[in-house]
Amino acid sequence: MTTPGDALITLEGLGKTFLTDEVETRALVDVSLTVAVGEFVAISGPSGCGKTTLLSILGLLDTPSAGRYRLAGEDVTGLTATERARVRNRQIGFIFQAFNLIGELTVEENVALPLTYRGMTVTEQRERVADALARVGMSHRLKHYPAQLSGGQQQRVAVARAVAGKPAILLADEPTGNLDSANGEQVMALLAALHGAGSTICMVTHDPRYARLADREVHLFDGALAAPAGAA
Amino acid sequence: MTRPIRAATLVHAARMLRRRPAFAGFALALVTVGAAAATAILAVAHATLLRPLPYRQPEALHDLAVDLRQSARVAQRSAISARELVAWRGASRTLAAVGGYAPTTVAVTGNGSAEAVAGMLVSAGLFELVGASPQLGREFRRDEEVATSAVAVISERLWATRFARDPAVLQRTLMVDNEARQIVGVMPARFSLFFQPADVWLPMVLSADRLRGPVRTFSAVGRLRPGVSAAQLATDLAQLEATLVQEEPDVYRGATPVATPLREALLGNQRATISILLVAVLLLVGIGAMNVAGLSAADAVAQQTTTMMRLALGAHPVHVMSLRVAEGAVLALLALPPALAGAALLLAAARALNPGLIVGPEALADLPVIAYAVGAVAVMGVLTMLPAALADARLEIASLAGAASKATGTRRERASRDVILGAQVAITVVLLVAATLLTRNLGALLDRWPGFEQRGVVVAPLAPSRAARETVQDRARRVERILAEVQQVPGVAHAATIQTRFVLNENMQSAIDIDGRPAEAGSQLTANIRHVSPAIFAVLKTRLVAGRTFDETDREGARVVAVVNESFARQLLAGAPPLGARIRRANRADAPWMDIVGVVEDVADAGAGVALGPTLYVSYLQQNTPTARVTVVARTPGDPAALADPVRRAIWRADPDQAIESTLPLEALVARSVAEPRLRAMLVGLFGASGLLLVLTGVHATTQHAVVRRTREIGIRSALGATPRSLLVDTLVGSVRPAIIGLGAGVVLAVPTVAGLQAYVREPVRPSDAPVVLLVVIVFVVLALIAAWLPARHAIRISPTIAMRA
Repeated sequence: MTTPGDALITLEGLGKTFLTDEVETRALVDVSLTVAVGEFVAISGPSGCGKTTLLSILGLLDTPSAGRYRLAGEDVTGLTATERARVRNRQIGFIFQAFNLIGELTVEENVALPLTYRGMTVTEQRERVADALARVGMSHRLKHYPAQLSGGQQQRVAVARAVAGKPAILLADEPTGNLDSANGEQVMALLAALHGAGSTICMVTHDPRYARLADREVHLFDGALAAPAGAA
Repeated sequence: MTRPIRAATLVHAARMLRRRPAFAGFALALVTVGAAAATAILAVAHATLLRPLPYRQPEALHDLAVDLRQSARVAQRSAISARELVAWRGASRTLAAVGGYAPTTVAVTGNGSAEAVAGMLVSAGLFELVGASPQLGREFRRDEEVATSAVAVISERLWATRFARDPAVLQRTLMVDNEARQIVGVMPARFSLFFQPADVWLPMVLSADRLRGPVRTFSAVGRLRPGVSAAQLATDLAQLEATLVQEEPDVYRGATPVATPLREALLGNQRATISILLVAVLLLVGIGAMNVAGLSAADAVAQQTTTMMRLALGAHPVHVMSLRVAEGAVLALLALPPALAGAALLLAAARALNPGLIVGPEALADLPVIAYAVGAVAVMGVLTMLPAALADARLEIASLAGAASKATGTRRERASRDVILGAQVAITVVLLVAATLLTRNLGALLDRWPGFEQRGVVVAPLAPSRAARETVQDRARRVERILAEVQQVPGVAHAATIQTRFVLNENMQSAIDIDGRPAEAGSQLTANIRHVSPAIFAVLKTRLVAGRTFDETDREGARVVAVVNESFARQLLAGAPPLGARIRRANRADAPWMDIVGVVEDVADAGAGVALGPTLYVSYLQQNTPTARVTVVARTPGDPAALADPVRRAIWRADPDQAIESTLPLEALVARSVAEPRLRAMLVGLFGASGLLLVLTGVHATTQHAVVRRTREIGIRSALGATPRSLLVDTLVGSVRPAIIGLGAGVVLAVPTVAGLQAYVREPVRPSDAPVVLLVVIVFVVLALIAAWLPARHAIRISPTIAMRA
């Protein structure tokens, strides 16, 4: 059980190296970072600095080449693919730049998707989905398909999908990157509201306006943290 | 705008295929197999349905026969008599020419060892009637249609093997059935009349003394005069027949001449089968092409980035499409030689299983058939790559930035793919069930006790002797001499003779009278008849049920005796004690009454599973005729094949001029008698196996296609917490579900199919066959799961980081 102020994420000397044929690319170098429960952290930096790689490791989509990663007190560095999937499903909510809704599923089914992987009952799924969609103001589009929604609406549905499972942390990768400014503002307002309600958020962005909404901004440059980082 | 495919494009296409060896290999294998099957069946269809008969103006040729109507509803098509042939030939106003023929076997001696060869009795002018000419000499004249004419026309093969292609062969003679015949003609290589191979043609005897009586043994062909209709021909023949009725009412009353176009008469019964096979093969080939097309569509998705790069760099869509078509052309070029070889193998296998087939591998030497093969590979090659070409043409450069496919496929696309796969599975299940039951039936036929022990027996049918001067005793002594020599062969335990060649459906029947049991008015009792030597039942190990078998005392001058089988006793004696009952051959004033002295079990000597019914055995030493065929059978505890040559030499020691048709183990003859069910089982099995292969390809392609198309979706699901196992199961279920639905439909469709099969099998389908069918279904499901699992494994290797890409 974690309480506000406790460390939710702890990275110690994290590194990631990609090997392609004979070329070795060091995407992350000795990254140490702590994110507290209830904190909103913005990760920024120029293109190719390792922002997305860092978020992939934080989201257990990828594994580090070096260092340790503790999530909610558990060392998740050496988990198997199946164990990582289980942690992702229960502890992490994702909001992607490209929304990543599944075209063949309705809004309701898309939001329920992560819950189905938990083996949750249909009744409970429905309750969670209704609640999540109500929070993002999309309850009226339950049976629509993604192609029938605007970009901003799709991202709001994606946010609902991320929060439906009540994860420990929300990871957002350039959540406004595919949106116009009006829709971008709306989505950021939504994230701010979630944060206000107690959600822990890590957001990758290179838009300073949105980075300023976070409690703390972390800069990456050539795979390393460019400024001292610590709890806010 | 179109752009021709140039050599450079083909080279480029070949290089691109080489870089995708798995796809190229798979596509090549399927194009080859599909084209081989299509070419083989098209070769058969060409020879039987499309190609004109190899005769001059074949459409004018008609087969002539008579309908001896047995009842108001049952027609019985029959050969014609010598008198009908002569009458029609001489007086028809609608036929320009009429010819008769009758296949036979003759013994050829001199200029080499004695040999039984296929021969044919033909009327004068028959070769000219069909438009054939001897390459040397002439054909027969009318004045040679007499018993004393000693002439023969020989085949090119006989000319080569017996006369070393002697140009002066027309001055030489050939010993045919111990008679010297002057050779008057040599026919060209590969010549045959009406698909019946022959090495010797002899003139029919149509002299006045042969023109009376009820014997109908000739087939006949007539050439219609120009402008004559079928109705006019029928009227003309009916009038001619009416004249014969007036002259010999007992023989010709009730006989109706029937004229049928020759193609219909020769090939009509094969047309339906071949048409069904043609449709089945084309269907399978179509399905195969569709499945490979599914693969190529997946390949197109995988190659999307490369293709869009080409478009971005200025390639015209037609150029991109032509590259795909060129890949199809390369596949076709590579597939042509193995497809031709495969078609030759299929045709050779079919003929090996059923020597009666008129089409063999030599059909592939025909230019049109080669053109079919080229067409088949070309169509399959192009069809294979067409979906990829069309997919490439629809690509938009604007989406190059996100080249990794974001599409997950429309519901409609997926539904149509599922329906096609389900239909394939249903058809395949029906074929597999049918093939399994036909194979089981074949096994049951071979396992059933035929009334004799087939192992350890060698069989040597002798050519009939036409020596007219031989008496019953002469023939008996000759058989005894032959058996004495064969008995001396080391390894021979027993030897005997029987009047059968163990050939499918070859049977000899005789009308009989039973003393004290007159037949009902208007009917005649008949039974199969076998002239045998005394030891026959010991050689065949046939069980004696009652009484005794023949012995050495049952010969001319002694009490005339007979042995019957159980069916005879049961059906014709109706429960009366068989031993002591008296029977005789009917319609012969001099036929003696025979006392039944023994009953043996039923012997199926006319093919495995062919029930003969009542059979009468008489002692060859006691009664025989020139036409009663003699087949030597010898039992050995060792390998019967090793006895073939010694037995042949022993027969020739007894009679150097005796022609021997063959010397084969009885097991081989029994196996040959099931050639047709074997061929049927093989064909259906082949279709079933092809269907299975195609379905597995379809399942594989569908799964692969789904994985490739859904790469991003799978990555997203993985990012949202789907475990590798759930991704695998999800992918497998998506691919196998339509297969399972098709499986259910196939099982339902198999029920009427199995019911329909009953008409084609000699052993009935039993409920005990159900577990075998169930096993087939289980094996199918397992194979389908494996076919889906192979590409589905890739789903769990898709990195969830793909979801992070914009």
